[in-house]
Amino acid sequence: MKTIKIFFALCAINFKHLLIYRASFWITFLLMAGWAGAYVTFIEVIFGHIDTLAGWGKGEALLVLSYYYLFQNISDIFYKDNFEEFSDVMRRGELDFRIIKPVSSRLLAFCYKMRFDQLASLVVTAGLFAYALSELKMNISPLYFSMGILYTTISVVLYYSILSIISTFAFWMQKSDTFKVLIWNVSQVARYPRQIYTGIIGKVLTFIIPIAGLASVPAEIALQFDHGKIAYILAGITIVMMAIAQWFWSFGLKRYSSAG
Amino acid sequence: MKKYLAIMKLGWLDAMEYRLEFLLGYLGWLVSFVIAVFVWLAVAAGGNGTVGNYDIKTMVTYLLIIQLLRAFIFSRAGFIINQDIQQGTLSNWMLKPISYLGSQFLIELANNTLRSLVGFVVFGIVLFYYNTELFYTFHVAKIFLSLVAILIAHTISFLIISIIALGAYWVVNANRFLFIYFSLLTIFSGMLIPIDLFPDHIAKILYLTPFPYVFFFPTSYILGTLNGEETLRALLIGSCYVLLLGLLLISINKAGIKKYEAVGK
Repeated sequence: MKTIKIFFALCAINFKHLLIYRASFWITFLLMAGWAGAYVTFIEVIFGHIDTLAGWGKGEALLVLSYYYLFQNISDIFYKDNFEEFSDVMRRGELDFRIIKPVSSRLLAFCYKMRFDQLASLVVTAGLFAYALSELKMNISPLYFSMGILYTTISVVLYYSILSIISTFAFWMQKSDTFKVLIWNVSQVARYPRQIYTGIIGKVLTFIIPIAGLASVPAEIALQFDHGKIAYILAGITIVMMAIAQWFWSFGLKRYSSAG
Repeated sequence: MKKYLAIMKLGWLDAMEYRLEFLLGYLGWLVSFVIAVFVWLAVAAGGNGTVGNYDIKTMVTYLLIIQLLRAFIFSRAGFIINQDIQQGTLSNWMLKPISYLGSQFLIELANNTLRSLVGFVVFGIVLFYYNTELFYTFHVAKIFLSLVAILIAHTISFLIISIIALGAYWVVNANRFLFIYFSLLTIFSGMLIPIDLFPDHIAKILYLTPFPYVFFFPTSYILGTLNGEETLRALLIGSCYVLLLGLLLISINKAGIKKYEAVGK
């Protein structure tokens, strides 16, 4: 309960930051539009040559892209910057002030800085959803579409756990730009339908390092592809990954010898 | 000249010191390569084994060459420049009798050369076994022109990312701009999708931008899909972009330095 209260207090503090730097909202909007536009172009080019990608039509692949941006936007708002900057925070000795407080050290390490200017990205993503739905050759049930949106919450938690595990390695390695690039590359896996990853790698990316389904599974729920089986499996994996991330964080923290 | 050689040596030492991080960086490249291969395998499966002028073998060879070149061409200097401006560490450089941006270029050149050596071993072996015939197409002139094309590509990549990072003079953190640039680079430089697969009217526009000269042209030249005239034209346009972007970088840096506040120093 205390952790939740502190989380909301952090939200309030960071939201005031947006009110001070209002221009950030519009800059983010323009940049996100450019980013989404580039990948829509990619999908358009691909589907200029083929009709289906691993069984997904153009509208369906665009729906995966929309869910991808949805969980990315939410993670950008609440925690992404903290993971990217974690090794810098450690190196500058700022982590010391966060871990001595009587609250979850992981919460203060990874949710300390929030980016509410990223709300602008959600506006672009909403536009992307509208485009994806217009390109679908079937009618989508509003109920299942909403369930897909709700399921994105699980993707956000799972993504948080995966990034937490990656960033905890900073206790052993402290060069920041490597983590930024690694996190960026890893997140790209979720951009496409998970069925493109076949064989052992497909299974690893779906069940062991479960990144492939972060956007695909919400889209599958919305499109009623799999009757929810994979959704339950991914929810179970999320619980396991949350536990591993917490354990690994506690293990890594013991190695931390302070930089300040 | 001596002091710049010393700076390059620092770049090597930096790469050697952070060996584990260096390998982690490679893991990142490997992830993106695996993604690209799976995407194109799925695309080719949907197109009966070919996409445009590319069959599976040519496409995977293209992606492998991209991986070989990526370690050298790809620039991360923007993160360092952004951080130096943001945290005020640029002040330390300003006190030295050397060019800050020139030094960053040399440090990265040295760093990337070392990264490339590892890349050549890892992806070179894979490429050799996957497409041995490609190695028989190399001769002295092709090796020389390939090196020139790759150096032009890295310089363009460095100049663009540095120009974006200089945005840190005006905004608190330019990292977001860098990530947006990466997404544009991925799509429009030929890193993920060869430019000649775009519809003709879009490809024509892209050829006017510096993006294709970063990955598409060096890779296509090595792959052997460019004729002599196209190669020379690409090298000429690429060199012009180096000049133009270099001048732009210098003028933006001059304007930005007036806004620099050396925060925390």
